[in-house]
Amino acid sequence: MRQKPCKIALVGNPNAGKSSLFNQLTGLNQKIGNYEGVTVERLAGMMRDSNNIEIIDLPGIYSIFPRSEDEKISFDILLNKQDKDHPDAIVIVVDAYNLRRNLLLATQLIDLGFKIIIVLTMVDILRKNSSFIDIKKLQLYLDIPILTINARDGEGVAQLKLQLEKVNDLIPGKRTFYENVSFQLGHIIDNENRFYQLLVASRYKQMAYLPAYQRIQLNEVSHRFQSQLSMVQTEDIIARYKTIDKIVRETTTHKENIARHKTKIIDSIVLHPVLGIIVLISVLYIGFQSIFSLAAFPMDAIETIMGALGTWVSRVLPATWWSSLITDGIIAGITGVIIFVPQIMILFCFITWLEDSGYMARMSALMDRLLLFFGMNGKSTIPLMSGMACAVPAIMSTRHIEDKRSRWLTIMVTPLMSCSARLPVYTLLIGLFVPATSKGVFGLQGIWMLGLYLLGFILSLCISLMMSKFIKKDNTSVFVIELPLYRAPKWKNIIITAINKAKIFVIDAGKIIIIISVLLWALTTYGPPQKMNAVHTKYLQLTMTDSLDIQKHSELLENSYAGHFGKFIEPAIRPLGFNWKIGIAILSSFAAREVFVGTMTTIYASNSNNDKLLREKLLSEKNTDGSPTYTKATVVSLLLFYAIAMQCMSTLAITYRETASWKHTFFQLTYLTLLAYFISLIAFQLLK
Amino acid sequence: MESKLFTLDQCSKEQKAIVYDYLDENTKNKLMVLGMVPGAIISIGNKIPLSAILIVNIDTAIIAIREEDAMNVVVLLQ
Repeated sequence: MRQKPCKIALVGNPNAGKSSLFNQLTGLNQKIGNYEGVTVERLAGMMRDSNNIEIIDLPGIYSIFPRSEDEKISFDILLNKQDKDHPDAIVIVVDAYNLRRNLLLATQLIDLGFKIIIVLTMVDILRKNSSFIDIKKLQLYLDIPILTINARDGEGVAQLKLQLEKVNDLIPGKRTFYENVSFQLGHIIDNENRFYQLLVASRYKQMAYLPAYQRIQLNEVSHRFQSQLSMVQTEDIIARYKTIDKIVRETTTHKENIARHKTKIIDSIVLHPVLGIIVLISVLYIGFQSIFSLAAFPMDAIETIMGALGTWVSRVLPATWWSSLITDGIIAGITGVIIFVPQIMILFCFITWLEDSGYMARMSALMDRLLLFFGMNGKSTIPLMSGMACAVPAIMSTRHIEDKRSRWLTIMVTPLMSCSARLPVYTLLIGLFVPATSKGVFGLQGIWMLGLYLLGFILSLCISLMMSKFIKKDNTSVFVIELPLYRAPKWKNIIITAINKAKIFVIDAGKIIIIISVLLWALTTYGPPQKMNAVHTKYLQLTMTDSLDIQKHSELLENSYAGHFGKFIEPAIRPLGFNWKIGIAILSSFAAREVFVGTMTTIYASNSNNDKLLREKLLSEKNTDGSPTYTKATVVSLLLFYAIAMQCMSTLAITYRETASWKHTFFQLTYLTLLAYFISLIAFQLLK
Repeated sequence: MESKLFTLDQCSKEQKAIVYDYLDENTKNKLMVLGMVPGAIISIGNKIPLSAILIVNIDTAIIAIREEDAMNVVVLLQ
């Protein structure tokens, strides 16, 4: 029988380097960043070169008293022995540069009686500051083995792995740091550890997994010792810091603080009342402009290659139904996916750079006042910014927001932030009516793109403000955020993140897009036989020219199954300026909005396999009265629809998971769809 | 030298102070875990008036606190 793996949890303060260490130990590529709240869920992976050690990365916590949803995950796993991830031993990741604060959690965990190894990270920052920790002395004080590592480049990880292989031989530290209490709870709580008893007695309301009889008994106890229990957290922390201060004084020598000096200089600009705002807007503008300018060359290259491939395939293959499926269905679908990979990679490089440098946390501080006015708070900044990449992890990251009202509002409005899946739609539609020219250093298409991102942000604020009027304010909300030291982003991390995200886009979105493209090819190629044959017969008697060929293709499409379906829904979308072809694209992209471009490529495909030709086809499309279909009014209306509508199944699924409510999920879907409809309607009616 | 009690929001840039007490339990619970226990020495790093945020240095850490929350922290100016 296979041996059950030994579970080792990585626990520590936020931003101490747990996820970097997790990646080093497991060989996985878990997201890392330079701000608190990067990890908001438990993540597990087998240790590299080992079959029986499972590493569990937990959300960062400052102390064993949880305040937010992500902290509660760590609390539950550490305290609930029935939890499937309850660890056999823990590695406490301690940021050596912030030793005093990190030792608070370390001493609490030591008191809980775990088998522990402490690893000191950020030692390189200490060295730069000519500071020093006497590790032997610290080890004696804590009675726990201590190792130093550099989680970013892997230094010391091999030694840690050797220690983890022998984890069963470890014995819990004998030293205790908690103040003794006068009451005994051993008769209620099946654990002799006094600190554990104290924690359970003061936090039992948050421990839903405790049996009912125990909760009733604890409720009685809490009434009896109310005054003592209410002071538990405060007194525990004060007493611990007294001990910690002594340990830090005895083991650490600080000479100078070069690292903070550099951060101070950068902050004097970045957090300046006026300059700070200018820097913020400039950073965002440069980021979005580069999505267009830097991606132009690789996008052109992909376009040329795929165009040549399509032409070659259609020339080589015989003119049969399956060759049409390959060229007009599969190749068109694949082109619609991979052409946008360069833009998506640049977007993720930009966001990862913001996260890695330490600027993201500053943005949260800068934005707090503004977001507070609209019902959210500074901690909503990270989910909203992450929403520009993808709403799914963004909504998950709201777990770090302690204030329930702010959290709910952030979940509700995050899908309004323009995500990477909207990029292909924006690029195609902006290219229809905005010339690729520049005014000075400002590219016109880049300005439109930035405008759409701003629109999403402004709408999210307005909607949040409206909704906040109906939800009771949480007066216990406190905004405190740690600002990390600035550090040069690691290009390796940025590039790996961008490649991984591109892979996810190509594989996950690509699968849906290709399936829908093939399905659409069938629906646009076939129709009621009588009607399709009538079109074929009509053109059989004529001498075919290029214009007649286009006319025939158009009539066939209109009589196909897709055409019939599109005509059925057309009355509902006509007031928005959309014809039945756009209607098909909207419906097919309900599950994932990036499907829109693939659908349009398939609907308009005849012999074209590239985006430029699709754009030309859209521009030459005429209504029955001869007027152009894709007028500025229609395109703006369509852009607005895609900027607002909830066309993403994964986001709905994650909203359900985070709110645990179908009511809230359905509400989000309904309000976003209705809002998109009415704003597009107004835009079209005003511009037409 | 005369020492006086103030709330944290009243401190000016670069000023040093000792945490004395808290006027609110939530602020207390939140800040104490970050090391701002009574007796700890802190300094004001910066004030961002537009965002109503106070930057506070405690040991090696830099913390951003909302001015409204800083009103609940009583400090002894040095």
